[in-house]
Amino acid sequence: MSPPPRGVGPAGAGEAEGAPTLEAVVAVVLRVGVLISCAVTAAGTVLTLAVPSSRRAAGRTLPGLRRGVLHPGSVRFPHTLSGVEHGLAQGDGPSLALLGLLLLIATPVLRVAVSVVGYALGRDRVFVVITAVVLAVILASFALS
Amino acid sequence: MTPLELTLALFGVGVVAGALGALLGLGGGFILVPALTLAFGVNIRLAIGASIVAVIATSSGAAVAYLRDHMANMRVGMFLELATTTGAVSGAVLGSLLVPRALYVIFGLALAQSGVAVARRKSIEHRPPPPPDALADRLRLHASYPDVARGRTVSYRVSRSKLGLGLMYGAGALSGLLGVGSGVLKVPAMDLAMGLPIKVSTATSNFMIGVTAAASAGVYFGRDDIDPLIAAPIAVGVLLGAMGAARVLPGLHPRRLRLLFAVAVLAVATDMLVKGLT
Repeated sequence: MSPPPRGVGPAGAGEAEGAPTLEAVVAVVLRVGVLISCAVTAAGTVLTLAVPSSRRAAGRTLPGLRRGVLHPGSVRFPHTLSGVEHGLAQGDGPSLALLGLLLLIATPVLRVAVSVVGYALGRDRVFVVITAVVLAVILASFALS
Repeated sequence: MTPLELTLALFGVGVVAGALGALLGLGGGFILVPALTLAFGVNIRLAIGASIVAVIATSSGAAVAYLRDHMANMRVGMFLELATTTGAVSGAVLGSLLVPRALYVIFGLALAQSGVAVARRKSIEHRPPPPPDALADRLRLHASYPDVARGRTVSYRVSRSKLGLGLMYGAGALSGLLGVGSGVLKVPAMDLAMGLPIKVSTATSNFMIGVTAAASAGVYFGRDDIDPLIAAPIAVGVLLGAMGAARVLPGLHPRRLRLLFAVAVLAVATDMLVKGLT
């Protein structure tokens, strides 16, 4: 993580000299989230293709796909957190892939949460309020679903 | 098609959708939903579920480079997310209502018009200075970005931030209501109303769409609409495509980006008009 060139940062005012900007911190959060979720999702896909039992599960999808009738419920895949957990315990490839996708979904939410803390540390009150409201709206929409 | 071939084909579609989505700030859903339903025969609900995951992948994958290269304006993005997230929730609530067909036609025409306006817009140094904006000053939204294509740093001032906020609320609500990606509205709002350079507009739109999509992805997951066998290879492809395209944007000529954006928006507008008129 190299410090950004001076004078190019988007409104980096208020940042201490030499300290990483919030942009840089958020970029690291996103990079870590993306790399982990990408690796887990890819591993789940490979496991699905490699393990016979997972492939049987996949086979229920693929003939349906060829006939153009793939629809929700034509194949059983977990759609709750406990369902994913149960599948993972059995070494199920699709469940591992879903875990990767869930990590991917969580990454932007984590990005907003980190921003709230970052703006608070930078004493940027208006942006603390803005990002906290955004975080609250996202969490509320999760709770509503 | 064997399972392996299908997985590789979905991965390939993901790479293309991720690259174009990241460059244009549109998230790639506008490519994926038609590709999956028409070419692969995937059910529309599963296609939309995979596409919402792909939007998050595009956003997060490209944002790393966009933040590092100062292409995305994070303060503008965070500020506007206030409106897009609340707009998306309103749209989801209103989504249960019957949408009149005329709305698709009006929206399609407005979209086509804004696509043409983005394509015809003068580059930032040939425009009169934007009107002063006290809110943008107070929130320190003005910034600059290094434009590799022109070999220099471009400074810009953000204008009409309140109008931008209102447009973003509408963008969020309409996208929930009409099932269209909100990037097609966000980029024109930032480019035409707020006076941001086109590259900053697409990169900032790209940065923002991940948060809005994450909020709705939970709903799709709970409704059984995210099929890992379809969404997983696409997500991996999209991540790689988006990360690659994010390296291309700084060197891309703004005029080319405007034209590319207009073509994509006109395609979406045509789709809306067809939905409304047939």
